[in-house]
Amino acid sequence: MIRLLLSAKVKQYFGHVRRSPRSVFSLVTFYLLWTFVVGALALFLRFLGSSALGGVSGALEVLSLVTVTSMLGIGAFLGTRGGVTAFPYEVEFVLTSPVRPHVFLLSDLAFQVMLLSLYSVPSSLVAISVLTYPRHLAYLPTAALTYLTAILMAAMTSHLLGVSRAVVGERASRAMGWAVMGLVVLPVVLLAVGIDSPPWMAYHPVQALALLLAGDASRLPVVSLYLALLVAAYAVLSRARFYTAVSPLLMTVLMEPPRRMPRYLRIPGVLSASIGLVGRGGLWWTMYALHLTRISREGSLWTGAMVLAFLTLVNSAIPRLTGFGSFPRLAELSMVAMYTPLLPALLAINWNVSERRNTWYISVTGDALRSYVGTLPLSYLTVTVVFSGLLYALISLGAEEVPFLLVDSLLLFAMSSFGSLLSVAISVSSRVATSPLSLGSLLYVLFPMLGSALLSLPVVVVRVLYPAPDVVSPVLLAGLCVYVVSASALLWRVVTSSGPRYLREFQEP
Amino acid sequence: MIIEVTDLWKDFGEGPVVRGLSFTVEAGEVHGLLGPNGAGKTTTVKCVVGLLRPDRGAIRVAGREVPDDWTYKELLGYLPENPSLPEYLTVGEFLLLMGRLKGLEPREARDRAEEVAALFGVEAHWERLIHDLSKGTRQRVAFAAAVINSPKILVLDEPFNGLDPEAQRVAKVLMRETAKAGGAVLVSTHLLDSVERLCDRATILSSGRAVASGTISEILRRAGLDEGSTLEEAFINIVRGSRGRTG
Repeated sequence: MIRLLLSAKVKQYFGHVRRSPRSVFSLVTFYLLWTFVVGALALFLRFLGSSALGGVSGALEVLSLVTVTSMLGIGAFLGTRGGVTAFPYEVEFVLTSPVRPHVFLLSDLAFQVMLLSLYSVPSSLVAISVLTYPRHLAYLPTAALTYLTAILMAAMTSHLLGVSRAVVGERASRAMGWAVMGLVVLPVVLLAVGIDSPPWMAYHPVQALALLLAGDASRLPVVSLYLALLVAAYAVLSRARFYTAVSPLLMTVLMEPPRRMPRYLRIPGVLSASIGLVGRGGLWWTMYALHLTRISREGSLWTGAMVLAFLTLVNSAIPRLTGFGSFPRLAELSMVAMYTPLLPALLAINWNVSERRNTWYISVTGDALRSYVGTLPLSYLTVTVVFSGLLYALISLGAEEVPFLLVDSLLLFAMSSFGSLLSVAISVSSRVATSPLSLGSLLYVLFPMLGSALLSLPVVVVRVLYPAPDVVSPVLLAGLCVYVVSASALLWRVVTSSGPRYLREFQEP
Repeated sequence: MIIEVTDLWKDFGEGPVVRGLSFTVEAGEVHGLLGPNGAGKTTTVKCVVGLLRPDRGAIRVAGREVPDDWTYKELLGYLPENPSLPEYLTVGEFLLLMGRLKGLEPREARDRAEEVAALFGVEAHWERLIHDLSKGTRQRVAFAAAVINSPKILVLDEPFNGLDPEAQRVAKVLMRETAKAGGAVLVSTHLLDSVERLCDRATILSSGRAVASGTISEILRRAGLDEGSTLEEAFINIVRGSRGRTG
C-alpha cells in the first residue's frame, strides 16, 4: 500500500513531465542549471575561505552549519505552518478510504525524502567537492549519508509537528513548533551575534550534524542518538488519528490556512484601511487596494516576511565566521539585498496558487485587466520595500550602526523593484503550474533573485568599489537613481502591456 | 441579432474541441446551449465572453468583434460553470468591486450591490468572507455579481449548479426579464426540463459541432418526435444519431 500511495504521489508531482518530451528537457535543463549555480556559489565561498577567511575547512563548516540549520529549520517551519499536508486528491479520496494513518504518513515521508534528496543531495555534493577538492573523495561518502540523515530528520520533524496538532491541539502544537525552530537556529544565532558557543553546544543536534557533515566522525554517536529518539517518537505518534488535521498541500504551506483568515478582519489600522478602499477611488487605486487586501488577509505577507528574516539571519552568520567582521555593514546589506527578491517571489507563488483562477471576473469586465496587472508589481514593491527596509534597519541598529546610507537605500529599492517586476513577469507569463513545493516554484524564486541581482549590478558595483560609500558624489547617485527608475519603468511597461494578453490566453480550457 | 457565432474553431492541442460551430442569439431571446459532457459548451461560452481566443471563425456580440473590441463587456453579465471567487473579500466588498469594475459610480455601485444582494438573499452575509460561505451561497453571490450592472446580455454556464429551488426561480425570472427588455441570454445547461420551459431556442452540440438548432418544436421534429415528446428524448436521439454518423 505504501508503494502504491508513493507511486501515485510521484505521478501527481511529475504529472506535467509526462505530457511531452519538451517538459522532460526543461526539467533536466533546469536541474542542471540549479546544480551549476550551487557549484558556482561553492567556488565563490572557496575563494573567500582560502584567501583570508578561515581556510577551506572553515568555509566547509559554515556551509554545513547553514545547510543543516536551513534543512531542519524549514522542516520545523513547514510542520508548524502547514501541518501534515496532502495533495487535494489524497484529501478527498485517500483519507476517506480505509488507509491506516501510519501507512499514509510513511508514504508521505518516503515521498518527501525522495524529493528533497533529489533537489539537494547532488547539488550539495557538487558544492562539497568544489570546496574540498582534491580531498573531496574523503568527504563525499560521509557527506552523502549525513545529508540523507538531515533530510530524514527534517521530514520527520515536520510530520511530528503536524501530527501533534491532532494530539495536543493546534495552539500547543504551534508553540512546540516555534520552540523547535528556536532550538534549531540557536547555534547560528549565537554565531551571528558573535557569542562563543558553550561546550554543551557540541551535543546540539544541528551542531552535531553540521560537524559530522564537515568530516568530524566523533559526532556520529550523538547524531545516531537523536535519530533513534526521533524514530521512536515517530513510531508512536504516526498511529494517532490525525486525518482531521491534514491540510491540502496547495493552500497551506506558504499561506495562512483559510480558516484563520477572518482574524485579519479584526486587525485595526492599515489593513482595515486598505480593505475599506475596495469600492472607492479610481480603477487603478481599487486594483492596488485589492492586491494589498489579498496579500494581508491570506497571510502571504507574514509567511514571506518570516522566510526572508530567517534566511537573512541564518546567512548573516557566514560573513562573521569567514572573517568579514571588518565589513559587517556591507555584509549585512548584501544579505538583506540578496534575499529581498524572495519576498515578491513568494507572493507571486501564492498569487499563482490562489488568485490566478480568480482573474476571470476581471477579464470579463471592461479593460480592468491592464490595471490589475499594472498594480500587481506596485503592491509587491510596497510590501517588499517596507519589509526589507525594516529588516536592514533592525540588523544595522543591532550592530550599533546608523542604517540607510543613500546608496544602501537605493540598492534595497532596486532589488525590491526589479524583484517585484520579475516575479510578476514570470508568474503572469508562465504556464508552469506551481505549488509551494514544486519545481516551478524554484523557477519563480531563482528568476527574480538572479535577474534583480544582475539588473542591480551598477548600484552594487558603486556600493562595493566606491572608496567612501557614505559620501557618493551626488551626480553619480543621481545617475544611479535615473538608471533604477528608468529600468523599472521600462520593465513595468513591458509587464503591463503584455501581461493581460498572457492572462487572457492562459485561461484553462 | 445580439450574439453571432460563425464557423468557430478551438483546439487546445489535442484535436479541435469546437469544430466550425455557428449559431445566433436574437434580441429578446433566451437561447439554450445543450450537449453531452465534452461537447464543447464551456469552451464556446468562454470564447463568447472573450476568455478564450478562437483559432478560427468570428464572434460578434452587440455588433462588436470579440475579443478585440472589449467595449461589449460593458453590456455583459457572465457566470462561469464553477465560479472561483476571491475568498479573502467579504460578500459586500466583492459586489462593490464588481460594480466598480462594470463601470458604476461608487454610490450607484453600493445601491446596486445592496439591491442584488437582497434579490439573491445574501444580504445577511454582507460582512462575511466568501471563504466562509456554503457552495450554494457562493453561487448566489456569483449570480448577483453577474447581474450587478443590469446587463443587456447574460451568458450563463450551468447557472443552476448548487442553487436551491428558490434561488433558481429568481435566476429564471431574471433571465426572462432580461430577454423581455430586449436583451439576450445564452445559457449552457444539462437541465433539459429547465431549457424546455425557459428557452425560446436551443442549439445542441456534439463533439464540437451543432447537430440541431431551433425552437424546441423544431428540435423535436428534427429528432423525428411529435409535440408530446420531451426534449430529453429528442436530445438523446439527436446525440446518439450524431455519434453514429461521426463514429
